[in-house]
Amino acid sequence: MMMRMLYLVKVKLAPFFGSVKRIGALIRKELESLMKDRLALLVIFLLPIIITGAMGMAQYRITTLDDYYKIAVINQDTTLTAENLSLSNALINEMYMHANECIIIPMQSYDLAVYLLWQRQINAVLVIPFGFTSQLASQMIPAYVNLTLDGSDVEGQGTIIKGVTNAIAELKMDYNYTKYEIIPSSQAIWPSETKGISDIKITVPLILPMLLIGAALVITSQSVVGDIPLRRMLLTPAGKSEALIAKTISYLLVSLLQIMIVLGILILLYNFQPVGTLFNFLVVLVLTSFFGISLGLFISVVSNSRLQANQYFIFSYLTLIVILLAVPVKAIQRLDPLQLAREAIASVTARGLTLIDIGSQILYLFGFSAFFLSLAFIAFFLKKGLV
Amino acid sequence: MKDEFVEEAYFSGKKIGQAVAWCEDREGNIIEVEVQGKWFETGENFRGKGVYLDAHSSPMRSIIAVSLKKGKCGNKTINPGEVITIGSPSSKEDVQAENLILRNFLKKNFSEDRFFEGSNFSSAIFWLRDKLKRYKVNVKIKGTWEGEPLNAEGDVIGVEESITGGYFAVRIQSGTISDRPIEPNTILKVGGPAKIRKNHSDVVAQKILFMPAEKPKPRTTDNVVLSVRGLTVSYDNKRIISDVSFEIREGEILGIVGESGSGKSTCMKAIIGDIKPDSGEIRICGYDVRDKDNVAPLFGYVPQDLSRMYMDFTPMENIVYFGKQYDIPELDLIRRGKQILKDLRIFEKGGEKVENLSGGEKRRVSIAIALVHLPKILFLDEPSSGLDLVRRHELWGYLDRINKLYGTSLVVITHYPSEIDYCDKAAIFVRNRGFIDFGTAEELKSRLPGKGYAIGLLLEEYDSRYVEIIKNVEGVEYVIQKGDQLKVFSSGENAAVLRKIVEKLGEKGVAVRKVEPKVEVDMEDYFIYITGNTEGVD
Repeated sequence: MMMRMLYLVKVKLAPFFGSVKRIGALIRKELESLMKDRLALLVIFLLPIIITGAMGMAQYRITTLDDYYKIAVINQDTTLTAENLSLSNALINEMYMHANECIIIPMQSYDLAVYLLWQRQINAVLVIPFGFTSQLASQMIPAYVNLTLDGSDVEGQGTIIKGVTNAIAELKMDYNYTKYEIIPSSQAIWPSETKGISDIKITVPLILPMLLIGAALVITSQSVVGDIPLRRMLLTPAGKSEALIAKTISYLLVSLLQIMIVLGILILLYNFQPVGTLFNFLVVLVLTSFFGISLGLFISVVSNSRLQANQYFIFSYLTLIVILLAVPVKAIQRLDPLQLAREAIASVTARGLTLIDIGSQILYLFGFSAFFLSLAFIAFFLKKGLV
Repeated sequence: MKDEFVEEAYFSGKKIGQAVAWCEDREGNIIEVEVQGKWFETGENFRGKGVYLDAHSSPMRSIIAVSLKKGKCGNKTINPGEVITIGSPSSKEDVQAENLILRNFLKKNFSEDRFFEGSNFSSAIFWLRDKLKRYKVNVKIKGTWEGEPLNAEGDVIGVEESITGGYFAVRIQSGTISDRPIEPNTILKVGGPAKIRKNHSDVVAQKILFMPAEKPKPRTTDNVVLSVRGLTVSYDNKRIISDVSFEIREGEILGIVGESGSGKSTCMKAIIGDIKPDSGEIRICGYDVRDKDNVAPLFGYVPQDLSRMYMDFTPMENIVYFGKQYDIPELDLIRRGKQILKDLRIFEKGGEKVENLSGGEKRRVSIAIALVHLPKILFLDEPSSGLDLVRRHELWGYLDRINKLYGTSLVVITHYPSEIDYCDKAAIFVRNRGFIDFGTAEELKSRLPGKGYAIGLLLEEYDSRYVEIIKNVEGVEYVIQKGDQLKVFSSGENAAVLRKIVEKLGEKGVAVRKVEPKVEVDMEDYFIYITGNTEGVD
């Protein structure tokens, strides 16, 4: 009886199983085809390795050279309090103790210090002017310190100001000058070499979406228009929808492998530790790739030649990047899949948010992917004359 | 028409091992076995004829399994379709052969039927498990039920593997146990001789013939593989072809001949379902061409563009990947692929990348890809385009071989009228006029003035003004000039028209070197006539 029922189920579901088998065979063919395409292999595997490697190298540079911020301190104050104390020296001592992540280098020449800052040998110059102690001790007028910073090093500025402010606060408390102000005035200079943003925690959310979407677009934008034998394949029982489903699944599998390689490099080689779970990070990356695949398939289906597909690819990719980097309108920027992916990755890796917390970005990203994929199916069905 | 066998071999019963080797060498072809000997059970004389199923030989035992077409044991007629095994005169097989005649028809055996002996039951289960995933499998069993002889036929409804060999379940359609009929729809579990029987419903099989159902089967019974009626196709509001009608039968070769832009490719695209016609009916083996599920397995397509196969794959990989879309097991595809590549003389290139093959080899690989699912009809889009005369002839040799070996009907687009001579029928397309005629080469030529014959003239010296003189002679319909030679189509009696032509030329002082009142018209002449004569043929 059981055997008979199984037999009947098999007969009823035969068309479905037939379709699944055909898709399976097409996926196998797609993967084998990709493995034989050197250019595709380059884009899928070598490019991510190079770019991720470069990102990691940036991180490596920061941790060895710029792990501590070097502050040159020029003490021009020679005045003393009634108790014969030098509050400027006391401030320097407080800085030694409380300016975290900073190295204090006492120097004599302001000009030399500024030159070194310009050369990016140090990160800041703190000048304690003449009269600092007497002004503070007088309890009548505020005392000043003058801080010169690297204008291009945004994150460094924060750490240094925080270190100096901590030291001032400790000084005021230790010597009971809490009611009296020490005002740190600051100015920025732009060194010979701009530091830019090189922290891996910032570059990962920015570069990874560009890399994944770009790589997916490069490969998939040629996948239908460049697959000349596919037109012949569609005269077999294989249907158009089966061909597109097989391509989508194949490229998703390849993207997953690509993501694994990128994650492997980031985690194993450069000790990149997302604050949130790795699974959430993985889901966001797969969704990012999925968007690239969907857009690429759509481009490939609507293009009439490989050249046209390349043009569409460049146009769409540049549009995404320009919106991300150069369009200041937030409402538009927020809908850019690159921005959505960037926000989602940053939220998961740096803020430790869950997928539910970033639900809107996830939904938008998935929605855009589904939209382009649906368009690709419709366009493929409407396309006339295959042989 | 009865198939003509092309190879025949005689073996005495004692040399059955050699007969087995002969059959194995011709594996894949249809082989007829005629046997005379003794029926082992009764010792009576036996004489019969059947289709070869399987054979194996070992020092201890050599047998040939045959599905009988007809057989007589003493005075008793054996049922057609009965599966028997033939052995040496001293064997214990169904027939102890004394004389064997084997005939090879040089035709491919497309049957997926597979014979197993009960002793080989585990292989049968292994084979069946794979087949059952794709096909409905009918089975004939010879064996015993509770020690009584059983002979039955039915549908396999399931298979169970186990370390003791497993079994398969059959819903019996008809059969007997010791001459008692088995009730239809009884479900029996069939096992091998080594199987430990657990209940009374078990059958111990001695001979098993599995017959997987072909799918889909041609719907028509009149052997018409392609029928096109009133086909009209427009593109961008411009009518490309109108009212195209023709049909071809199994095994025929159709040439679709015409100039560039005459609509022949459009016609083929409409036939294979690539473009939607405005009106008309197209049927392949009786199925409407829009019924893709049923039609796709029935035809193969060889595009003109050789890049429509995976260039960085080997021929065999291409065959497998295209073939898998027809739900054919990979092992079967490899087996068939090897056979087809052998038949097309490119077997040794089977492992090389397609991109490294020559143009002719690529074309044959393309044909092999289209053949692997054993279609009833094969469409070839201008396969001879760009080939020199020798290569064209060679290609047609391969096409003819496919047609004969596989029995596949071919529809070939060509713009060379002379290639109609390789075809059984031709559909003629002319630029700006579309489809104009259909028939055999002889029929087409017979519709010309002169009914396939023309007057041949060889002038001493050719001048275009002479042609004008001839055209004005009463009874002359059309003149074809090829160098100094002229072929004159006349509507009247050739000899009388010829006399008038010679007279007229004589009056103008034109010397005639040679005259032939009746020269045969070839297909090139036919084509020049119909393209030059805007009124067309009758």
